[in-house]
Amino acid sequence: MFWKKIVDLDPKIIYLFVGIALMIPVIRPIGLPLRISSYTQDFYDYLMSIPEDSIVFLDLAFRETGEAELGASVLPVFELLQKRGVKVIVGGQWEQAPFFMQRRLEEVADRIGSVYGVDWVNIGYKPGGTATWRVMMEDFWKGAAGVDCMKNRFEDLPLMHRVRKLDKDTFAAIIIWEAGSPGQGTWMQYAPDIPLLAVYMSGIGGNVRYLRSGQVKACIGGMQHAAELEKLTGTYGDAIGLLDAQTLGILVVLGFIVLGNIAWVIEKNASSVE
Amino acid sequence: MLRQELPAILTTVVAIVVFLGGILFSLDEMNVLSEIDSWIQLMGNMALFLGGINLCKLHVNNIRKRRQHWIFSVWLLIVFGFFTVLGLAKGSQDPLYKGLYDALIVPVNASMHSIAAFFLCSAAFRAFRVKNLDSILLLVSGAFVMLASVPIGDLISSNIPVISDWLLNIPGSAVARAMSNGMFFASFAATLRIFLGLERRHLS
Amino acid sequence: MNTDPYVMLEAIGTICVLSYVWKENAGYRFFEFTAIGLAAAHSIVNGWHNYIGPTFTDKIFGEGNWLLLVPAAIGLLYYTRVLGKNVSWLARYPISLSVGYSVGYSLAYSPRPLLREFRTNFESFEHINDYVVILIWLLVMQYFLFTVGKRKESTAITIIDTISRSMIMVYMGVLFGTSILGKFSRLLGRYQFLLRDWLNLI
Repeated sequence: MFWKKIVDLDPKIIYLFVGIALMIPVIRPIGLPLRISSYTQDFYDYLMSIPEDSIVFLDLAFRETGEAELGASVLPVFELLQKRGVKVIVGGQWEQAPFFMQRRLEEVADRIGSVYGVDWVNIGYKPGGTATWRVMMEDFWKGAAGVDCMKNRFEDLPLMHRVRKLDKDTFAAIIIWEAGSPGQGTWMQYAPDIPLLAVYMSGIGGNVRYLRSGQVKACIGGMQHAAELEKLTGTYGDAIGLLDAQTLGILVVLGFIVLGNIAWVIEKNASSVE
Repeated sequence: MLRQELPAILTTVVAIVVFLGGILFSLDEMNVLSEIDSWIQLMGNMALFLGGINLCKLHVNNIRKRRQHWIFSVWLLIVFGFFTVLGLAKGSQDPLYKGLYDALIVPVNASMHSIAAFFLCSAAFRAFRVKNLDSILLLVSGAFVMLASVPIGDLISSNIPVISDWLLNIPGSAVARAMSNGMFFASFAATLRIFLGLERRHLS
Repeated sequence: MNTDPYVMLEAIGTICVLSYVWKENAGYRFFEFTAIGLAAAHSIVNGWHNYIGPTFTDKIFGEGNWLLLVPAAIGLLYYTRVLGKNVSWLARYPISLSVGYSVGYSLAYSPRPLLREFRTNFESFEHINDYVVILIWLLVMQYFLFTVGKRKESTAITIIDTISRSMIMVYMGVLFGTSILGKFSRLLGRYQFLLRDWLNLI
């Protein structure tokens, strides 16, 4: 009878357990030790190897749903590159992220003394899909309509005078924060000679094959790697703070799966005996 | 002729020109492709208001027919109209526009996707039954990947991240590659059908 | 508690949407429809200010590049779809150009990443894992691509299918593991906002 009740457990009880399990470590972190994985170390090492004064394109290809996970690694990367003197052009294949990340990037830039237009520019989202990126590869100003996300003309932004084409001679690397399609496929197809680094949502998963094939030079994914990057760069702590909560959440889910299976086996044996 | 044949011919002609431009560098040097790229970019962007028009049509229909939640359709049209006028008049960097966007879109969309966490847990509790080899493999590999992605995996055993890495790099990447290759062949075949004029569903 | 109006609005929106887990309610619907309307409006605003507006003012009327009015006029034909059945066929022209363009590029450029992956499979044979990768790749490819009649009658094919399916299940487990972490991350982001930025509890 008891195990039957477990098998038919009301979903709202599960929601309650999961909700509380995720909330407690957010309020009171456990402080579990964090080990740096090879993926994050390679990603960090690649960022550190980008020469000073070169230009990097940050492709924020995600929307609001990816803010917690992908947004957590955008700021440490941006700050690291700017502090090292690497210039940054921010854009996106998706509409939302270049717009809502603008404020957070401005806060970081103001804090570290980066000058907009000289050290970094946010061109925003340029609609048009493949055609837009193809035009930008031939003539960046034409493809981007000659204005940034705040309608500043490229003529008035000193950094943009160095960016005439989206090619390997202009950009030392493209770093993409990918939440789906369009994403890294655009760069792999149309700009395979520009080194590509990728940050994936929900972990690396099957995308590790691109690392093996060399189409991606380094990649990280998920909140664990974002937390490791925060630790390596010595910045922020949003992702580090949430990792304990994620740990407890995983344990609760695994616990429920085990409980569900035990209850199901006992219930199945009991009904077969009857 | 004007309604069916000419558009179909245009599809194939443009496809051939772009295809040849992509593989023959001499055409690229003549800047043929870059002009086509600019034209297609502008042409596509002219459909800017189409989504908004269709959205308004749908919700005006809901209001006229008094469908379920029609009162929210009224609110949607008010919001859509207000933000379109405000944004077009003052730009997307206007403090009111940006403040309301950050306060509404970002949390609402993020929250909508985050409720899937609850449903996923409930579904995992109900659906993950260890009935056969396949379900055992699914569960075990999922458990290893989950535990390796959080610090506790390393605390339980230093082998968990190693096994998880192997699962990602060897069977994971091989299967992902095979599945994406298979999907590529299917999409390539469909693309080839359009290229050869055998497929005209995009013109219906 | 942070009483900034934008923060309060964000907090109320988050709580109303999360309340859907318990039961669908008017608060959830209100914010859902608000988000849809705002997203559609933002698409238009963004596209106008980031591309259409500057292109017309600078390129066409500014530099006198009147030839660009041709693709602009063709693009306007998209709107004939909403004008009725008598003229909606005109929308086939910009669609045919757009589809032809995508098809041409796809055929020219999409094999490149695929062939690169093919090549990677056979680049290294130093470790046993390299052989395992090739074997699994071949087995899963044949599982998807070749639907041979009466597969179950052949023992060899049954064994191969079992191995292929098992490997696919391992991959599905990997996907499940990573996707559930992603969902938790989004929820934790919202928790962080509610507890830190709104209630100042952390």
